[in-house]
Amino acid sequence: MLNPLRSEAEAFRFVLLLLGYFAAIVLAKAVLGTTAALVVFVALSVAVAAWIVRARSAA
Amino acid sequence: MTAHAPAVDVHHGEHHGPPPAHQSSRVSAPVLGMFLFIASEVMLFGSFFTAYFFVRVVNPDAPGWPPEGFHVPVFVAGVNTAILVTSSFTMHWALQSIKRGNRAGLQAGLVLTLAMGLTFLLTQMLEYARVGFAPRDTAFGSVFYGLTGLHGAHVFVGLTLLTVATVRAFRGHFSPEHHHGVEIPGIYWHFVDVMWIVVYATIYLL
Amino acid sequence: MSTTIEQQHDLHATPAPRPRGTRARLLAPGWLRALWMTPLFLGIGLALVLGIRALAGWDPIWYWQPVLTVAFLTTAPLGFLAGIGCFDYWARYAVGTPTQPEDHSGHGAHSWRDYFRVNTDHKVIGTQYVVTTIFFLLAGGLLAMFVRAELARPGTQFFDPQAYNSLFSVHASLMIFLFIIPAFAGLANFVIPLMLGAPDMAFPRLNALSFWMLPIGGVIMLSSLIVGGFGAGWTGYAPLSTRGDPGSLFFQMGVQWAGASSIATALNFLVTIITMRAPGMTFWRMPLLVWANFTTSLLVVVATPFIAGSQFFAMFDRVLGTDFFTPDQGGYVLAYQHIFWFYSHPAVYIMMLPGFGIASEVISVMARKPIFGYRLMALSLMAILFLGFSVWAHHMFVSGMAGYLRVPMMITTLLIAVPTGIKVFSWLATLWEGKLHFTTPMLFALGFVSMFVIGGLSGIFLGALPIVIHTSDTYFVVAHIHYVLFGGSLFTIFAGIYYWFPKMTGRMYDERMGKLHFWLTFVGFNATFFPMHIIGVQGMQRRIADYAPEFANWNFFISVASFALGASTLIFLYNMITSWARGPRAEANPWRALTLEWQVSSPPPVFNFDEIPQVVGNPYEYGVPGARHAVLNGDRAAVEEEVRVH
Repeated sequence: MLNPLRSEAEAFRFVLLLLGYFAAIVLAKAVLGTTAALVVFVALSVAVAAWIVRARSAA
Repeated sequence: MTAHAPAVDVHHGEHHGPPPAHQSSRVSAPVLGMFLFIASEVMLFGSFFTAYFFVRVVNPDAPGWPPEGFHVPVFVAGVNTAILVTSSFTMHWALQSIKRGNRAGLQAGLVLTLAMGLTFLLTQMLEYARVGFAPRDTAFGSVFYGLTGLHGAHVFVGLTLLTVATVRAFRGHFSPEHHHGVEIPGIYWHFVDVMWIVVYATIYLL
Repeated sequence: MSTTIEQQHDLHATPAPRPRGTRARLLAPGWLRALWMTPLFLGIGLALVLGIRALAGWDPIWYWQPVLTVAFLTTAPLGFLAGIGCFDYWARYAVGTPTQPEDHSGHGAHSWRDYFRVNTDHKVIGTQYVVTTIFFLLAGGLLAMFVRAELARPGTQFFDPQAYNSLFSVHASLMIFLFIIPAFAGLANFVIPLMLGAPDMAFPRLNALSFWMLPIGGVIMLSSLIVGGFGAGWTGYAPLSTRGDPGSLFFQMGVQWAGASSIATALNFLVTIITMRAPGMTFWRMPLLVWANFTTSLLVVVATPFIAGSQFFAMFDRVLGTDFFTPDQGGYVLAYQHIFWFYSHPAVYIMMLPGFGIASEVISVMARKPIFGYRLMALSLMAILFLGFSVWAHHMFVSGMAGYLRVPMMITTLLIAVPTGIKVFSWLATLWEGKLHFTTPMLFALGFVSMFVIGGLSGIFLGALPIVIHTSDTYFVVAHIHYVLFGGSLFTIFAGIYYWFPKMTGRMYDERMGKLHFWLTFVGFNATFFPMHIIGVQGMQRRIADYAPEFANWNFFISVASFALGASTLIFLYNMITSWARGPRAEANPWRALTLEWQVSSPPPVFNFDEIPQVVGNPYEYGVPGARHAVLNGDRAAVEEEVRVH
């Protein structure tokens, strides 16, 4: 079990990543509408989950 | 939560105390404690977002979001968001400074962060005064004030922690080796920022 | 109780000098300072509420709801905590003055008075916890006696229906939030650092704070009786709890204090277990009690904020007039139940998993056999943890929630019986062909296993949709919850108290009285709660002060049995008090156990260990020749020998 958040620097990086995540969703909603935002939300969430799983198994 | 100042251990060794505990993890105890506390806080926000979800999505006769006749100041809150996100940068800079032994950078970073946090809180209060509806005006008002108010309370707690860190920074505490007293409020501050991004996106934008 | 353990203490932790002079005494942390700081903070709270109301022009300026919430139930308790000395260190830290170097004068108890002070020693805090929670057990039990007195005959005898509702509501709230959850936390507080080979908890001052928040929550809930109590049950469902009697406010705020206390303790346990294990103490060498509290603490940290949230909403609806649960204003009533049970279902595991840990310790030691399937035991705890979050809506099968949630929730509910069953069979396999020693803790542990199986089986009934639609809100549910919480949690708490009594007090309890206590409790418990299954299936409703005459005979029987059950607690009390005062001195290791807390003196030295022990093996190798769990006091040769052999 490797803890992904262990210091202030990692927390800071998390802020930036989350900002990007929500910016993408909000942008999709503003430009293309709610359905597109939902698609972006699901796609990004799956991508993040996959990335976490891969990082875990690599560690 | 920020209690463990390494700076106080000057007198250690003069008396017979407990044997030093064995450190069985790479994460230090206060940092781990802060992250677990934040996990708990995230769940508190989670319960408020659950209420939001029920009021906006599950409720079969939910009106629009915001309902007819209600208006949320997206632009002002957007500026506020920018301020808060910037304050995360200055916070990060403050900690990086003390890690390199730059005390002036630490002090400047903390003061800037503190100032931006205060600005955010004051803007939020002004927004409450002018938004034109109250917590008792339908469930939309309740959820709006509930989530922004809960976040505001966390900003207040974060500012309190930062004030403590700032006071100590100006009194000459902290060093490149010992800076838990800055790092832990810093982690909390980033959490406050993260929660605001979620609140802003879900309440104002989406 | 007045006899203390000072004779055995390492005397290098000397008590702090008493402050001299009136001014110094008023300013020194303690009850005297609490006496003036509590009203001071009450005044601050009043000024805050009234000032804001006056500035904002709200009418009337004196409105009891916010005044009660802020001044009496929030700032006054904070004043008490500040006065008693919970925040002294942090206050000094905050203003940047040099904090007092830790001189460890706060460690250990030198006289009985030290138990009434803020103390950072986990052993003192553990004892404080256990004694406090037993007080609330007695208070809650007394309320249960009142409930049974009212129910002894049909019709209204002693209490009107409103008062009756308050009785069972306060009874359940005290038992759950002020007895079972913190009693486990108290035992774990005493034992876990010792078991891990750590000198103390990770955050001793936070530990003291979380203890002192507990009696505040309890006093708030008890004092709700002054204003007429609250009738919405321990579940506090909206909308009943969001309007009407002021007592609900006491419940909503009392839960916040007790919840904050348990979150802080859980956090402390997690950090202690992760960062302070002795060298060699890997996760797979931790005693199961530590494992159980690890999973429980994860549950507490993640789930308890949800009950805090639900109580905040109910309190806002009541005090601020928000509309979270007002349907005609866009609110959603069922949201309360969803949020509440998202905490409160995991909470039943919070109330049970530490008991599983205690049972594992006691059964393995008293059967003189290694625990069967150690890793599976730990893994099934984790399985319960994860499944526990996916079953909450089975409390809402008849609430009118979305129909498609029913079957999935039923499936997960029945699934959770699997890890629980693994644990039961593992205990049975541990007992199999063991050399059983029927001491009092063992009797309670065995009583727990058998009673918990009955409670678990009725739980499967209640998890199955076709049955629960019939039995929902009947005495069948009351029987089930008492079989798991009384026959389960309370029996393991008793087992734990008897098991660690010699370690905590340094004295031995009276074994004959202990056994008498067990048998009276066991028989009284079954006589009280088993018939409730029958009248429940026949349709007797719970939470109602009066009932149909055809249930009169059973109810009379139940009431008589419950009084006997209540009386059996007096034996326990007598045994505990006299043994603590005058019992024979206990050996360091009366049960011949391997875990670390038994390898030090009884009671343990102030700093637990002179040197952090080296763990070299598994904790349950009973009956295995030459097996060792740990090596103490720098016995280097022994360590090297062990490392070479394994």
